[in-house]
Amino acid sequence: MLKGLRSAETAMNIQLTRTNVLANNLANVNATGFKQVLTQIVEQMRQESDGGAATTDAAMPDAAAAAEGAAPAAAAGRGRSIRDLVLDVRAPVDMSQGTLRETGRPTDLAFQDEGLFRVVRDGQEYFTRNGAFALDAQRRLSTPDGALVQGEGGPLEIPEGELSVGADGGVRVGGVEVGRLSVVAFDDPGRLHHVGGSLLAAPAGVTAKPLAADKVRLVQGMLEESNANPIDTMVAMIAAQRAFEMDAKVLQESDRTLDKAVNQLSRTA
Amino acid sequence: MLRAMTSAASGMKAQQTNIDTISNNLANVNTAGYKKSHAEFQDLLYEQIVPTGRGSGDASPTRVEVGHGVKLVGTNRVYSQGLITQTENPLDMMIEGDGFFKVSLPDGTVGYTRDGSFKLDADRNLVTAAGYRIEPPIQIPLDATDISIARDGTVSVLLAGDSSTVQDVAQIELAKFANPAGLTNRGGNVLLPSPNSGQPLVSQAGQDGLGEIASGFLEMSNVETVEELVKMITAQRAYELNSKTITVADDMMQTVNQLKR
Repeated sequence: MLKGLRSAETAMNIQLTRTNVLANNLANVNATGFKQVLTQIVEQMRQESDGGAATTDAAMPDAAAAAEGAAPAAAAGRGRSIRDLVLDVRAPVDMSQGTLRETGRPTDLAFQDEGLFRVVRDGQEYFTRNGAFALDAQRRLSTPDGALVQGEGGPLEIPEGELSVGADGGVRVGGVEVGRLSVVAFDDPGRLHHVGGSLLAAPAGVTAKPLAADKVRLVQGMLEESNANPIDTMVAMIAAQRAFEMDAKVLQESDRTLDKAVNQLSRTA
Repeated sequence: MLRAMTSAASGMKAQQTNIDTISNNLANVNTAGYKKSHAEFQDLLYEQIVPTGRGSGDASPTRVEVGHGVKLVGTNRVYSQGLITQTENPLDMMIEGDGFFKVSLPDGTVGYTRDGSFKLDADRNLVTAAGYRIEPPIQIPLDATDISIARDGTVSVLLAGDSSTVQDVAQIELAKFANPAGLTNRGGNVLLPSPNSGQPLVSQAGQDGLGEIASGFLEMSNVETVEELVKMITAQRAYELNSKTITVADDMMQTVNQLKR
């Protein structure tokens, strides 16, 4: 009986997390190079045996959000073992292309296809699609926060002169190549996670692969806008809100049933 | 739930600053030498959370991250060339290309400006419209009849009574910066260097990557009204979106409050 309460609570928490993620996507609808975070609700099998809570992650991916989840407990093996379906939320980063906006600044760079800039801040390596760069006081290409943009041989120092960046990532000053931007790609970029400041970090075990020069399609004087879609996000947020309200109703209903069992059954007995 | 609210609040604040920047650009659409600013946004810190219903969570291919909204990282000034107007006044100058005029401010520091609408003060010093002297100071002799400024910044005059000898009286110096976006705005069309901008490189016009001087012309602002108005509409809509988020979060909180009657 308490299970009804528990699953309604889980479902409400998930819709809450979804709303928080969606709110952040909407807040960043104008942030350069921002990649929205998707929310997927999955059903997950959880097994609890008397040995303690062991979770298996044999998920059934992509179940619709509407399902209340929590199918009744099934099979019991030796000892006490409960198998249980629970809802869970996943949040991969959506790496799809944002629209390009012309700025005319020579240090603004944008990708037209796949690829990420490699930057280093405080000795840590990060990746970004936000090419709103500037020269720091030592004429090194850097992000507004001071993270240094990496070329193939470390930070890129730009000598005095007219800067031009080729579609392949070659950096030229006055027609002479002075370096090459280090452009990377990931097999599964959805696993990257945001660290703020329009930077993404790779989790352990996920490695960046240099992107072949003929696959890099850079444009100079343009910036990539956020790929957060205000319409889809708004719709998802309203859906999350309504699901939250439904789950609240389920919780209240479970509570009412519990009330009957505890207070009224005992009276009649 | 509250996080959704604070994210949305940060979004509204950011869009407000965006509107402030845009309206300042529009207000300065006719200011000589004004360079438009563009508000640049970045996402705020993220919290990596392990949601309910999961144990260690390490088997999951993606983690759940909840951001805290958006922040303004800077108002980038765009140094593209502004509109050019012809004035036929030889003391009006514009820089064709990179560089700034140097002016000395009342407190003795040197400021930098693209506004080349110079005038002569009572002592016949070359000064800006606000009365700041050009640096190094340039004094035009009292008996000068005709002033002309060459593309390299040489100021020459004809003296009264002698219409055949052109005399060079001064040389205008220009300055440029490694990172002009790092200059701070003092107001009154004057910019000041900062640690981010780097040290000024001072030279003659037309040398060391500096632009040439065109006398008799003024550089107006580089603000494009259509672009600014479109930006303003986008900013307003983004502001509205974020306020809707607050409504949604508020409704959800109300749902929670009604759980227990």
